[in-house]
Amino acid sequence: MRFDWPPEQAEFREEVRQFAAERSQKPSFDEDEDRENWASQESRDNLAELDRRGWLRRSWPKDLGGQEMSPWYQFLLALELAYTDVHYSRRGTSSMIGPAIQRYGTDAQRAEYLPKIWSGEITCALGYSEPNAGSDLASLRTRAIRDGDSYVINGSKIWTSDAHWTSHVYLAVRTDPQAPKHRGISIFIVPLNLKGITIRPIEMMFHHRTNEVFFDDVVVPADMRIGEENRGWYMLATALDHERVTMAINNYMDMVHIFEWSIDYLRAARPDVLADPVARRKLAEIRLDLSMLRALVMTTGSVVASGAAPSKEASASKVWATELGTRMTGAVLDLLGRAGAQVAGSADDPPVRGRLEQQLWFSALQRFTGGANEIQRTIIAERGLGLPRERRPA
Amino acid sequence: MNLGLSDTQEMIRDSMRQQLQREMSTDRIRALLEGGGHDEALWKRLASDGWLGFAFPESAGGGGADLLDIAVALEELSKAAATVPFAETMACVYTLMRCGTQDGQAALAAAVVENAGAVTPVPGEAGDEGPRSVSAGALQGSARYVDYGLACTHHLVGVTDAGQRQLFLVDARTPQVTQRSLRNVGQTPQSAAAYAGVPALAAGGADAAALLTQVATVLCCVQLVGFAQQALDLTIPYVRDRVQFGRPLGTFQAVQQQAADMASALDATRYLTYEAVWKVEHGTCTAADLATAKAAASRTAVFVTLTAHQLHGGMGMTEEYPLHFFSRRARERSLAWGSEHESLAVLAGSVADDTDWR
Repeated sequence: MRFDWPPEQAEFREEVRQFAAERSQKPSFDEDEDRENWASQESRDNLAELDRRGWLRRSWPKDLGGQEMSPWYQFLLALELAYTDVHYSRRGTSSMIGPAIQRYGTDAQRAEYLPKIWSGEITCALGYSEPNAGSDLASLRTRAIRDGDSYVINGSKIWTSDAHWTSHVYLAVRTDPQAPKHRGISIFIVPLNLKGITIRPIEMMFHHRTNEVFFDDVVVPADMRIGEENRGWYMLATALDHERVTMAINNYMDMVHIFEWSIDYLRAARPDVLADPVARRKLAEIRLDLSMLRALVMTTGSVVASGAAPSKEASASKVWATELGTRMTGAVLDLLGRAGAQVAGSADDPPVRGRLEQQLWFSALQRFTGGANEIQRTIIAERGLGLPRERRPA
Repeated sequence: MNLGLSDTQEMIRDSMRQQLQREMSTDRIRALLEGGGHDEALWKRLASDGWLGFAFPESAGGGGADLLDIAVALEELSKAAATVPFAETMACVYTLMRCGTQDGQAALAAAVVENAGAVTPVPGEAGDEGPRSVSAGALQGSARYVDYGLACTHHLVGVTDAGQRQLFLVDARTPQVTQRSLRNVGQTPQSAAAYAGVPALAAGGADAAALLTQVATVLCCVQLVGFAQQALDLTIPYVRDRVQFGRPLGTFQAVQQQAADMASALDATRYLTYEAVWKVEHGTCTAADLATAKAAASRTAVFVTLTAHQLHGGMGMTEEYPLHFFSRRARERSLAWGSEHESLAVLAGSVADDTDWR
């Protein structure tokens, strides 16, 4: 057992910190501005520079252009970049889709997609959920029917965040409706400019846009299918485990930001609150919960570093982070009394420029996205603790 | 960063675990608790197997254990509900061997290694009766809540003189020490002590006194982790096997979700606890680190053991079933060396100013 970083990893962390300090964008308090930042040329340049330095693939196998070093490098990179808010294209595209194509793609697909993913030319939205396939993702119904060298896709996806600015969608579709539901799913990487694709906005209650995406006789070349036909669910499950690790890191850093901003805000605007022992005691409880979250995130990292697939640990981080999100923002708003109800755009300067209120709703949403917390707890109980599975209807 | 045990630590864990599996039974624990005493036979066994010399340096014929090694052994003893002053003795030994006086170290080696004695820390913290004083080498005063006070041959007593804290080693068997037996929720041996001019050996200065508090606190966290782990380890097979409504309890989502929350809180607390142990070993543990670990351990051990009772139902509340050993001890240790409230108060003091905590 050791709780420090070996010198070469500490050094790497320092290098990343320096890089991040140079390129950190000021924290944006505006959702539109935020979206532009992530889609900007600057963030593509950041991504390209990260790849040029070899940082994105330090932990990858050598035959795939990596350096086969400890997975902690990947973890430290994500941690430090999340803390300093460096935008490097859509985070998930390089951390989730890249590895999936590396693992399941053909040589031709690797040559075609990976360089463009690293350069930021390709960005992906995740096309998983459907109106009738939410938590029960495996019951998705969007169909892809083989037609010679192509597939014809019909159906619709929902909650496809970022699809209005990404170049592609990473799409889960049904290729065998006769097979049991987990065994008839395939994965495609689909350009969003194909004929027959319509994107409609859905405005969410906290000034966030997501999308519905409709597919009407969309013809997709068969070489855009990633991995074997009908084996998509198993690829998806691995991708979802990795998504939760990314989420855990990002959620943790979001929580750290909110806490630090709140303390700064209180120091400047409400020193009376910060001096109140009852209020400080409340903040101490939040600090304790943040430390618990840090512990879960590091435990998750240590599972990844040992070469095992993260499952109960990543789920625990996700549950803890998102529930802490509502608890923490709620606690700070509560300390502020009526001033806590002021939101962005108010003539009366809102606390932390409205970011607390925004995070409150965002955390409320995150409790059920990426696999609802109820499902995460089931994963912890069944996969982590070995409790018997409940008999579920097929 | 590596959360796995080293080969040595695995050996420590396995040999302690195997020995306790051979020796311990719930009947034995119950008999001891009814008598209000400690497990003398086990202590002698630990002595003859070399565990008492464990934390003495190799140069002094000891095992050269660091604080993580001690923690690994202690977690096994806690999971077995062993009623011996191992945490207490190891805290004193580890502290004095790091920064005690030469006389103190020699006296300790004679007491513990040569004579299979035990030592308990009497820190001089809030809630203690005090004040205590030492003049002409004799200790005067009293102390409350001395863990294993009657079982231990020696007390390592904190005395504050002109704002300086010091540690003195006294032989608790001399007639100038009188003790009243106390009863606590953990059903572990405890006393209140009066020291009437008992010969006191200067064993350590302010740095030793500060280290003793840190070591005893993180070892208390390790005990809490052990109790919570054992409560979880009892609960999982119970809900897997117990059938109601024609199916195992563990298939009910309401049960699964509670078990998941027990495991997550314990994972986080285990990390914070061993991180604090590691930091004490490396001299980098801040007051906030210590308070964070103790608040987490106190909160989690009580939460996990009470949830274990909920998932066990009536069986878990019986004297026959072992769960209550762990829930009682978790409740008692959660209040020792800084309760959740007291620890959070420490954290509240610096919460607006700490910078390097992420």
